[in-house]
Amino acid sequence: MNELVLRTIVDAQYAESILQAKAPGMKVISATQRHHPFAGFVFDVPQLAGRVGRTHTLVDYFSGKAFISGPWQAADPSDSIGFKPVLDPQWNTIDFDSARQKAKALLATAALRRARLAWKGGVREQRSVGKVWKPNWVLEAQLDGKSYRIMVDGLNGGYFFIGS
Amino acid sequence: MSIEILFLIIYFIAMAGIGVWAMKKGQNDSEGFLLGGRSIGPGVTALRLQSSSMSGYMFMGAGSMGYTQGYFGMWYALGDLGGGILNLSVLGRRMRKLSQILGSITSIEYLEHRYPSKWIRLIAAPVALFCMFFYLLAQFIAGGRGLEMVTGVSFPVALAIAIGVIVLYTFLGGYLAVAYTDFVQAIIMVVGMVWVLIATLIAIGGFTKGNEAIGAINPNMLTMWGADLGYQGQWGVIIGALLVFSIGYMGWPHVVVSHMAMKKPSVARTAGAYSLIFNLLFIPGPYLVGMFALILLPNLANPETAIFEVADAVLPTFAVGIVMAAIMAAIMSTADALLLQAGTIASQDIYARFINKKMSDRQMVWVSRITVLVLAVIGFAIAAFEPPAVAAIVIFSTTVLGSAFVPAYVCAVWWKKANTVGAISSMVAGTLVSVLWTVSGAPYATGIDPMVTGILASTVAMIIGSLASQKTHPVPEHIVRALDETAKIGPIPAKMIMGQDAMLASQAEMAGRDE
Repeated sequence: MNELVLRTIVDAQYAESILQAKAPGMKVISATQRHHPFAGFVFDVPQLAGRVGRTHTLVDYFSGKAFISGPWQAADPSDSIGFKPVLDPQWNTIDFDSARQKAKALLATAALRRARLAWKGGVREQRSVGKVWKPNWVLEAQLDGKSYRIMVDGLNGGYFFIGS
Repeated sequence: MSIEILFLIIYFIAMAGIGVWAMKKGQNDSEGFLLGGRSIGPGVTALRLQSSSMSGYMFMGAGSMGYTQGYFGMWYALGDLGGGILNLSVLGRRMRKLSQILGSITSIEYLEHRYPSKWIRLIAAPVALFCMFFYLLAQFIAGGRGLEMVTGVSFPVALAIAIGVIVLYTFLGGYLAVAYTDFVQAIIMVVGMVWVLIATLIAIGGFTKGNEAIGAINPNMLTMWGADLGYQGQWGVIIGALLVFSIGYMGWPHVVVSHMAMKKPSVARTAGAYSLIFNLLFIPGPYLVGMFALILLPNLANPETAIFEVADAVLPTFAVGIVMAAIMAAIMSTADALLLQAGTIASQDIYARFINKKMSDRQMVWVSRITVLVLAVIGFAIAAFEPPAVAAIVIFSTTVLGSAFVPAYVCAVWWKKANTVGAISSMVAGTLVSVLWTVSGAPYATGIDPMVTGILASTVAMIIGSLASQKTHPVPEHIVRALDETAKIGPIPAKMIMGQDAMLASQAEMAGRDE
């Protein structure tokens, strides 16, 4: 199965600054990089007026959730030193074929919602990657005397609270 | 060509212009083309929700209710006023988050993911299609009546034109309705309605004088108990009137699907505020104009045309065209959403799930298209020969949809013990009780609205069904976890709650377990 580790766009310092921009008093104690596994597909999607657009999709192996992503940028080999995959929880994991179906269904539904019935269909798979590892940061932080664990997306800097 | 028709044509051209502009602006790559569905902010979310749920009913059924029952119609308006904000507050944020965690992309699929069983889809999809067809029928009739009045052609011809325009709009939607046409239509609806209301108030000498004149015609109209005080003390009917457009919305698949398209869950809060503003401006208008039509046009043959006729009487000719555009906006935005949702249910929730699991996207589009055409033909056949009242159809279909789905959608995000058995029992009980209650004439005999009995039956069935089967059909672990994640809003610093990216919810859950 071919694999691809995505390049980390948001480094630990940038992740910290994103949180501090929202909560100026937040102090980050530690930052650990974790890689989350996705199935990756590249499709050609017919659009209106005869155009065809190339779309990258990622399907989360652990939740079955499909996303439309930007083009993937592979990490430098030197980045793999910090590679730490998230372990398979084994209670909601999907296989590669299911991931492919989910990616296609997402594209078809999104196109239909957007173009209504003027859309003609014809999504074509151009490429697939068995495992696309997406970098995230898990930060231990403190604010007003309370401790928090926060995930920061290593690609776009989005954040989500894991717990406190 | 009359100036009203000219304005209608200008309106359609303007909608096309917005579509073309949006297409050129945002579709240079398929990212822009496809991502639009999940990048919707609060203003557009609120107005799309409202414009696709405020239908031709507001211009025909609500006007008719005001004309025939006076302030009694305000019970429906009161429910409607809070409907949008209630829907977004109760379901919006959590449904957005849960649907994302579960990976659902249609509202019926979401129910099946939350209550895992093929029976969920087998029951939910036909019920939704059945009710949406009736609701669609109301939009066809409303469009036909409007065109009949403006153009002077016979109703069947006007109906055929209206259905043709609506279906064409859905087929060409990608060219005409990309991006923000629903948003623009919602604004046109408010402007058109407020304009008619102000012109009507000026024509009758103001609100107080209008009420005095109505009181002189029939003082009972000034009460909220109906023209013959027939609803006095009929709390079963009144609670039903309040419920139908308040919590009833939460059972509409074509409306709740918009929660899943929001940019992020926190959009729901701001969107709720916007939808309340829209409702305050828009909803009382049709009921009041319908009632005051009794002063201006006391001998209307068909009360459902009250708003059209009043607009014709009190507005300058060019403004009648704008109001007609507003009416067509309401009808088309609703009918478009209904047709597309019906096509999606038929193709993805029935055909792909039970007939052809390897369906290609081309087949999906064709199944959707054929469904839309079949619904249009059947709708024409029924409406052309014996058109039922718009208000009656809308209230019936909303009642059944609400009774069947509200507990299933609400418990999906708020009750961890809600399981598959409970959801199936709830949908079956809600549908059967509301339909049988209506067709048996029980509302007249008992004074209790079918919305009350339907919701009661589906809620009780959900509770009993879920509690009685916890041991045999426990809620699967991954759903319990997803619900925990969905409910998680604290203790997070207040200033950071709003900016969270829900896309990361499931990744954060896994990384958190792993540490």
